[in-house]
Amino acid sequence: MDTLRSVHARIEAYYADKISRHGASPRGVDWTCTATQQLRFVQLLKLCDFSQPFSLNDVGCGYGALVGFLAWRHPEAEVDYLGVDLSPAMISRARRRHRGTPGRRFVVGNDSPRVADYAVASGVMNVMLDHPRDLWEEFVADTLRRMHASSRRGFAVNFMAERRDGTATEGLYRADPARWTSFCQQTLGCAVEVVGGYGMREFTLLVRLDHEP
Amino acid sequence: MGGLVSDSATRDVIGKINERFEAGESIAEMAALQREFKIFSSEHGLHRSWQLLNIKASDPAERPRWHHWTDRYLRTLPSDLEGVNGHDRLVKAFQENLESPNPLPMFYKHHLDSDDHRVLVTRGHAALHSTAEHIVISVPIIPVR
Repeated sequence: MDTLRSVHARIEAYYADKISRHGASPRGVDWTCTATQQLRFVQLLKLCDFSQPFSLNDVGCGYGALVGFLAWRHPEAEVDYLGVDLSPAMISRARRRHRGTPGRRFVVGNDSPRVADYAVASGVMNVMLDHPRDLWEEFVADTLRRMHASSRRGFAVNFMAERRDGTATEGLYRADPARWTSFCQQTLGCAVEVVGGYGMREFTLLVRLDHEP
Repeated sequence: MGGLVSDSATRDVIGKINERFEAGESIAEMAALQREFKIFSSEHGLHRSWQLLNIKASDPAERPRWHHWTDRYLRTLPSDLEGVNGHDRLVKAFQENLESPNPLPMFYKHHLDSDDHRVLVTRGHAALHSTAEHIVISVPIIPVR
């Protein structure tokens, strides 16, 4: 756990630097642009049943870009939203940006303080920095366990896929879908849907807890 | 872009456009974004499309000029389609290609207004190492001293 605390500290410092340089924008959370950031939200939210009200934990919420997306794309949806991020600087930006918006709260931490219907995490697993791959996979597993423990109905998370030639990209974590699908099925006992083919070299896992065994 | 945008900002922005629309994964990503969000559409200006894609001059001082060039100046230019101005021609070219069953990579460049004063959209090989056929968009410029 002490080792993971140091991983969290490195991540916090990395994103604090990003937001101070780029501000509350997709670049501030390492995405190319608004459009690609939002295309990832589209995939993650395929998990949610928008026909009824639900609660949602946004793990690694950054400056709260998902809040704006929900208002734009799902204006009728009743979503009780909680954004969680390791970085106090991110949370501070998120609170300022969404001040006065009802049903939107933000907390600093590596874990959600509540159980919600769903949890999503966008881009949280990608920036490995210079951590050893084994340690980073421990961080990924720990994050998935926490999302599982704090979700009633399911959680969704995206990963960068491996390149065709199998080469690595310095500082980034690329995974085979089978690695984490298997973890969610066998270790967490969940049903998993892999979403891919949405124009990016990545995949999204929709992990459902409320499936029929 | 002639006297409207500095040479350095021009190189900067052209580089960003061509990187995002190059052959392979980039053009596939653009096609997916178009399918989901209608990034290029006659419903909004080209500058809005560039904003969504974060294609802008790195130098903040150049951004208002880039905005003016994109949403105003281009509308004053004729194009290779009769009755369609330069701005709308670009939007049409991006939209039609990205919504086609097999989108081609796209290459953006400039030519001298003295050679042809219209915005031109053609198919061909871009001035790159890639042998892939591209949609080539060329906008006329008038150099200033």
